[in-house]
Amino acid sequence: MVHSSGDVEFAVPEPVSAPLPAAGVVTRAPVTPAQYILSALLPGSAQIARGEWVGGMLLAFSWAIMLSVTFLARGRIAGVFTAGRMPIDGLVAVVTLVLSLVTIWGWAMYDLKVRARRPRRRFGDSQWTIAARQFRRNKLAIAGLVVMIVLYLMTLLTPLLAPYDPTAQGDIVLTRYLSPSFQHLMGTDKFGRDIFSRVLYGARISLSIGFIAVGLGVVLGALIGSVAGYFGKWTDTVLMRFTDMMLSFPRVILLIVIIALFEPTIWLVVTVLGLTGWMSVARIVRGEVLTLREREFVQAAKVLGMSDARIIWRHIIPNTLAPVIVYATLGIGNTILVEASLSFLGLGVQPPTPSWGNMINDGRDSLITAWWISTFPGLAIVLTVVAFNLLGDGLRDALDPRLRT
Amino acid sequence: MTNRHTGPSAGASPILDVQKLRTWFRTDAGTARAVDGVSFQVRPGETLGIVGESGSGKSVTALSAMRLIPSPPGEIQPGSRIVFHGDRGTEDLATASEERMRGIRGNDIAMIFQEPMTSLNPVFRIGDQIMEPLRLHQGLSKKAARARAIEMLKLVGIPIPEQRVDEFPHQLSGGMRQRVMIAIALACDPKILIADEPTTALDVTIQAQILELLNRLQNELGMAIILITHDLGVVAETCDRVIVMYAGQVFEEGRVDDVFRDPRNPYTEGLLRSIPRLGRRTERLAVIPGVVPNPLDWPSGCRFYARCPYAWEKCLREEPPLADLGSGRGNKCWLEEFPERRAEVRARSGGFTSEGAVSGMDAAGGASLAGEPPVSPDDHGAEGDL
Amino acid sequence: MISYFLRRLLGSIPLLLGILTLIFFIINIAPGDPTARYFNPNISPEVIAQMRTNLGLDQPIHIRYFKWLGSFAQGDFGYSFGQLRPISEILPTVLWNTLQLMIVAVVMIFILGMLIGIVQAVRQYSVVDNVLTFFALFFYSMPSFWLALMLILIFSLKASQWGWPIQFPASQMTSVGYEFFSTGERITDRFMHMILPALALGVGGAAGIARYMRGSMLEVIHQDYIRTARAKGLSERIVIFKHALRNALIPIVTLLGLYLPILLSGSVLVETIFAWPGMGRLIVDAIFQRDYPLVMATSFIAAGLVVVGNLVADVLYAVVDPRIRTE
Repeated sequence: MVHSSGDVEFAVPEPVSAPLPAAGVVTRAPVTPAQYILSALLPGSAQIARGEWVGGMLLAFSWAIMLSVTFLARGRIAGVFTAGRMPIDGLVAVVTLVLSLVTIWGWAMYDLKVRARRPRRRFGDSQWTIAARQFRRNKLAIAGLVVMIVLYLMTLLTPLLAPYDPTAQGDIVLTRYLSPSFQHLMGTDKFGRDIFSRVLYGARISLSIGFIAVGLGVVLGALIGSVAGYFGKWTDTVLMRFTDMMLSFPRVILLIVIIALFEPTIWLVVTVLGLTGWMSVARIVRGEVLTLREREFVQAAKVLGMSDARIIWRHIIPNTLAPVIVYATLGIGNTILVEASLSFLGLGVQPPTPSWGNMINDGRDSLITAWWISTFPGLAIVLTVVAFNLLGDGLRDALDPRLRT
Repeated sequence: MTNRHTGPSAGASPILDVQKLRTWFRTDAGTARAVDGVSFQVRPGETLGIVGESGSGKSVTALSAMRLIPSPPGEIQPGSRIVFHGDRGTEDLATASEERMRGIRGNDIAMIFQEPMTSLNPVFRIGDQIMEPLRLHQGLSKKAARARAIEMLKLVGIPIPEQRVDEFPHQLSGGMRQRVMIAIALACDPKILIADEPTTALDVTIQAQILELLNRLQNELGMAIILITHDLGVVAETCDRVIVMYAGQVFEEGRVDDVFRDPRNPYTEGLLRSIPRLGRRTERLAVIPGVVPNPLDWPSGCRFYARCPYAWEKCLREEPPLADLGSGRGNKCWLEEFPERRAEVRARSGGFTSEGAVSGMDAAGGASLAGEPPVSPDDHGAEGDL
Repeated sequence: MISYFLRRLLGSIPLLLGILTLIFFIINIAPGDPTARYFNPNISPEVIAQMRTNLGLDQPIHIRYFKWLGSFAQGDFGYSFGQLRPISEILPTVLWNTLQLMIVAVVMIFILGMLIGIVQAVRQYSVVDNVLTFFALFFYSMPSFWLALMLILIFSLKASQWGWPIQFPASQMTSVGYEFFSTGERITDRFMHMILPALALGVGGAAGIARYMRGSMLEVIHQDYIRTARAKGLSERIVIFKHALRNALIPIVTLLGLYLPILLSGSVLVETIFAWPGMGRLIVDAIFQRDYPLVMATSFIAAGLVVVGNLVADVLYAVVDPRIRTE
C-alpha cells in the first residue's frame, strides 16, 4: 500500500507563464558618417533616419521650439546685453536658452555616438535601472515629466517668452478687461495688465515656492523621522506625538495664523510652508527606519562600531530615498495648491508680484464681466498639479510597488 | 436527451459528465490552454480524485465545472460540455445561463478551497456565512437558517457550535476554518462537492482529520466528491476512482486500486515510483526529470514526451489517444498499442530511476531525505531558468 | 471595544493639551500684542498700560499660560476684541454652520468617491475606468477656491445671464426674506444655498476617495473569500456590494480622519468665497482684525474637531473591522 499523508507530495511551482527573453544583449546598427552630418545639422534627424522615431522626434521637436524661441525673442536677447544695468533674470533666461540648445544638440550627438553603439543590456541591473525601465513604460508619467520640464524651462525663459511686462499697467481706459485675443492670449485684467504674461511670471513664483518649501519639509521630515525611528523609546514618543499634533491642525489655518502674525513675504511663506509640510515625510521615514533598523546590514554596521550619525547617513537615508522621492513629487503639487490658497486670501505673495493665487483673487470681483482673469491662472494650477501627480504616481509605481494604492 | 457515456463499466449513471472540456486563458503573451480536452464522469456517492502536478490544469478543471473561471481572461471553449444530471433533468453547464449557474453553485454543486485562512470573509460572522446559501437557495427564515447553521457546525465536528456560530473567522484555527468551509459547502445538501486541495495548507494531523470528516460526511449525506490533490497518499486513502492529469489533459483514469497496483501510463508510474513506501527496503526514489511544459506552447505529439523514459519518435510526432482498457480504465499512451516497447526499455534501464535526479539536478537525494517533495529538482530547474 | 475606545479617548487628551500649548506660544512669540490695535495718538499711554493690566498682559508668560489653560478648561474662551462679545457666545452658531457644510460635504465625498471607485475597480482597464481615472486626477489637482469661483461663474452668474431654469445662489446661507418663507420654501432655500459650497469643498476629496477606493476594491476582489462568495451562488451585486465592499471599506474609514483637516482648510477658502457664516470665515476675519483671543479659540476648535474626527474614525474602524473589535 502506498504511504499516506502529506509529507510526500508533488509540489512544483507554478510554471513560468511568459517565456523569458533570450539571454544576452541586443546590438544596434553602426552609425554612418552621413548620419553624423545629419545629426549635426538637425538634432534628432539621424535618429529618425535610423528608425528610432520617438527619441528622434522628441529631439527634433525640442530643437525646433528652442530655435523658434531664440528667433522670436531675438530683440529681447539683444536688449539684455545692451541695457544699462543687465537684468539678472534676463541673463538667466539667455543662459538657459543657450544651455538648452547646446544640451539638445550635444545629446543628439552623444546618443548617436555612444548610446547607439553600446549594446543594450538586458539583465543584471540595479534597483534604480529596473525602476527607470518600469517608469519609461508608464506613458502618463512620462507626460507628467515632460510637462514638468517644460514648466521649469518656461519659468527660466519667462523674460524672453512673456509678451508684456507683467506689472506694466496699460492705458487703463483702452486696455482694461480686454477679452482673450491674439494681442492678449488670455485677455487683460482691470489694470490692463496682460494675463498671459502674468501667468508666466506667476509660474516662477509658484514652482519655486513649491520646490523650495518641499525641499525644506523633506529635509526636516527626514531628520525628525530618522531620529525618532533610530533612537526609539522616549525620543520616538515625543517626536511622534509632536507630529500627530501638527497633523491635527488644518494646514491652511495654521499657515494663515502664523503668516498673519508677521509680515507676509515670499521667504516667510516658503519657510512656513516647509515648517508645516514635514509630517508625512517624518512618518514615512520613521516607518522605514523601524524596519531597516532590524536588518542585518545595519546590525553589522553597529557591530563594526560605526557611529549613529554615520549609520543614519550611510545606510538609513539611502534606503528611505525611494518613498521620500515619491512623496516629494506629490508634495510639490500639493504645496503649489496651498500656496495658491494663501495668495488667494492675500496672505501669500503680495501684489503687484503676480502669483496664480492672487491673480485668481483679482478676478473675483469681475467674474461675470471678465471671466478670463480668474480662469486661466486656475487652469495653470490644475495643469501643473496634474503633471506633478502623474509624475509622482509614476515614480511610486516604478520605485515602490508596495506603495501602490 | 439520452446519456451516452463512454465509460464501459458505468454502474450507476453519472451525475456529472464532463466531455472534451477546454478552458483557455488569453493573455498578452498568448493563449494558455490550461485545460485542453478533459473528459471524466462522476457518479452519485463516489469520490473521484484528480491528481497532477501544479499547472496540470486540475484546479482550472474544477473551477470550470462551477463556471467560476474569471472571464476575461479565461474562457470555456465552444464544444466543451459539462453535463449535469440534477433535479431539473439534464443540463449542459458549459452553456447554462449565469442565472441558472447561480442556482446551481452552492446548492447542487459546492466547493471548498485550499486556503481556509483566506477563504472565509473576515468581516462576517461564521454563522452568517453559513446561513447565506441557506437563505438564498432554500429560502429559509433567519431563525431556521441559524438553527441549520448550528446543526451544520455540529455535523462538521466544531465544539460548542451555539457559541462558535457568532464568532469571526480570525477567532478560529486553520483546521476549524476548513471545517466551517465544509459546513458552508454542505449546508444546502449538494449532490457534488468539489474539494480543491482541501488539506494542502493544513498540518499533517489536521489533514487526516479533515479527510476523515469528508469520508464520514459522504457516508452520511451521500454526495459525490471530486477531490483535487497533488498528494497520491490522499487519493489512495479517500478516492474510489482517480484521473491523472498532465499538461491540461487526462493521462490515465481508473479505479484507485487498479491504477495504484498497475499504473499503465508512464507519468502515473513516475508519480508512484517517486513516493517512498512503507515496508520496502530503502532505495533511492525515482524522479521524473524536467518540468511541466509551458501552457502557452504545449509540445506537439505527447506532452509528456520530453520527460518520459519510454518515449520514441512516434510520441514526438503523434499525440496518443486516451485508450479505453475496459472497466473504466483509460490510458493516454502509445504503449497501449506497442506494449513490447515497455518491456524493452525496462530491460535496458528500468524505466524511471533515480538517475533522472542525478542527471537533472543533484539536490534530489538530499531534498527527499529532508522531507521535501521528491520532484523538487523541477523546482530547482524552474529557478535556474529564471 | 469599550476599552479600545477609552484608550483612544485618553490618548487624545495630551494631544489637545499640546495643541493648546502650541497655539499659545505661536501667538505669544509674534511681535505686537492685542493692545496694538488701540495705538492712537488720542489714547494716552496710561490707558494702554491700564488695558494691559486688565488683560493680564503685564504678567510673566508662564503665569499667563496656565491662567489661559485654566480658563479654556472651564470653557471660557475669552472676549473677542473684534466683535466685542464673549467668544463662547459667537462660537456655537458659527460652528454649527460649518458643521452643516462639512457633514454634507463628507457624505457627498464618501458616497460619490466610493461609487466611482467601485465602478472603476469592477471595470478595471475599461474605457469607463480610464475616463473616470482622468477626471478624478483632474478634480483632485484642482484648488477648491478656484472650483468655487468657476461654480459661481457658471451655475450662478452665467446661469442667470443665460436664463437657465436652475440657478444657484452664490453667497450666504439663506436668501433675503428667509424669515417670511414657509417651511417648505425654507428647506429648498437652504438646500440651494448648500449645493455649490458643498460641491466646491467636496469634489476634490471625492476624487481622492475614488482613487483609494479603486485600489482597495481591486485588492479585495482578488481575495479567496470573494471566490467563496461566488461559489455559494451569490449574485454579482451581493458579491461586490456586500462581501467586497465591507472589506474594501476598512482602509477607507481611516481616510475620514485624514480628510477632516483638509476639509477644514478648504472651508476657510470656500466659506470666504460664499460668504458662509462659519468657522473658516470667522478665522480669516479674526486674523485680519488681529483679534487674538478669537484666533486662539477658533484655531483650537478647528484642531479639536480634527482630534474628535479621528476618534470617530477609530470607532468606525472598530465597527467595520471585527478583528479590532473582538480583541
